[in-house]
Amino acid sequence: MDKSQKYNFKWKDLGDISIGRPNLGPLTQVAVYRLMQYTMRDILEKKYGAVEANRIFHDAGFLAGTEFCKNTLNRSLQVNDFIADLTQKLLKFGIGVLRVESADLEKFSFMLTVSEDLDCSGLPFYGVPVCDYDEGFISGILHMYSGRNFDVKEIDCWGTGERTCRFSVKLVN
Amino acid sequence: MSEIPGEFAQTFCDILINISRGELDEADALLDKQLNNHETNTPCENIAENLKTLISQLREGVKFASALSEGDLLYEAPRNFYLFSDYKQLQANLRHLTWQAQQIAKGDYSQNVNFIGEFSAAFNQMIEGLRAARKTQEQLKELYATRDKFFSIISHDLRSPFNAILGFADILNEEWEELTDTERKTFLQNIRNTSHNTFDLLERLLEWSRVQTGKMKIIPTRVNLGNLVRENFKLLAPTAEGKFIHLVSEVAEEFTAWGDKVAILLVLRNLINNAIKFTRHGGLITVSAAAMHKLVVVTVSDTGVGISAENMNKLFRFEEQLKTEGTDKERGSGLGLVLCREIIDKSGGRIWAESIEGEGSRFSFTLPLNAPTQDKP
Repeated sequence: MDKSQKYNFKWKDLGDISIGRPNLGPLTQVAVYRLMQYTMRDILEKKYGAVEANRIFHDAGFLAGTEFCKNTLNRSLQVNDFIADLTQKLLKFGIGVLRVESADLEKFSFMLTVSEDLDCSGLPFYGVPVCDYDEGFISGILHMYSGRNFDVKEIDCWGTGERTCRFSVKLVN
Repeated sequence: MSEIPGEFAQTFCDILINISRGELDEADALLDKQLNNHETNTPCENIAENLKTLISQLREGVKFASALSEGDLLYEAPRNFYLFSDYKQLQANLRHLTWQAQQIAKGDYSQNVNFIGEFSAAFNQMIEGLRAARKTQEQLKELYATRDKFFSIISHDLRSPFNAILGFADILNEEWEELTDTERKTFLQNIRNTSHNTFDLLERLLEWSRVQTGKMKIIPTRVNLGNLVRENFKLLAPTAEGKFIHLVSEVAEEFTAWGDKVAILLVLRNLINNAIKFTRHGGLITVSAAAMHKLVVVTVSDTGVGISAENMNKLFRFEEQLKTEGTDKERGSGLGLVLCREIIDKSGGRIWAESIEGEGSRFSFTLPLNAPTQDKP
């Protein structure tokens, strides 16, 4: 496989949407986002298998999370205020409704739920969780905020018949 | 399409009746019997397998509902629990609500509950009440601190000069015959000076107390700043002349602002008085005013001794009550600038100071240029 890398993501690559889309504006339909996400998954699974495809989605989510945190969130806030800021930004960008179910600030472990999730809410029943990208995204945000590594695992998902995605977040020693 | 034999159809009907009555054990037993008695891969077996899954979900659902009703929010419901996903949603909501209640208990009143209509309204109303209570508590704390400071000023700053006055008066009373004329005059001058300073302090305290208790009403009108500066110069000229200090007004005659006449007069008097106090003989004090956007900036600058960086942070603060002697050992109450800040705050302006030690100071404050409605388009 060709290992040479020609592209590195930069936040400015998202472009100046106000100039680029003066009439259509910054919004699109969720179905379009999912069309890209799930066709991409189809091709990645065909080429690399399900496990590797999941890993690619996780890693892309992680990169997105770090950049999202760096460019949109206030990293100087205390944990509770940071979570409040994150909740507001996820709402603002239409990503999902974040809620905290439990938090142990000493161990830095959380149980989070995301309702109306951009990636999966409303999906058919698959029997397996599908939010690998979200796992990476949350992990990337927390890494950029704290400088530590987190293991984020999706416990419940629309893909497994739930109505709210639930993520367990644990600090990796 | 394969037909289902009549006896099986009857059994399935019985199973469904059992399920609808909540008799899951009986339904299970009938299903097992059905599965044991018939060949595999038949339509009957498929139906039976699916009914088994349904019963298993129902059992889990009953256990989950029971756990929730007992308040066990940590109950781990299984995955692929699509028949009871709304229970899981409810569990998630209750867990989040619990976390929010924990945060509120820790004093985070920024939480906003969004759970069930009337419940959320009541809960959020309660948080609003807590916020209001905290605000009142903070105001009370501030009020107590102010009261304590007030008593401390009265007990210390008024007691000491009175002790001095009494001491001088006692000496004059008891040793009048033995004292020379010069000594008598010195003691009388001491009594006069101390009384003057104490009276000045009392006046400040009363003015400050009137602002604090709301008795000094700030009633803004159009005021002529040029006149207010002249009025103050007239009042303070004897003090300035005593130190050969020049008072210069650069405020145009008809320059106006929007504010309370008495309050601005008081602020200007305090600032000019301070400037005289901290300016050496032969110095210069200038008052100027300029319109900037919708504000007027009034500045009192002097060529005095200036203020150290350490003392700059103590200006305008009641708790610090900075008291520094003037260039001619003039005493101050330390309340003048506190009073100015409170008046300017209440007038909707801002007050600040700039200084270079050894070169002089500039005290500026802002006032609205016009009445609020006049600025609207």
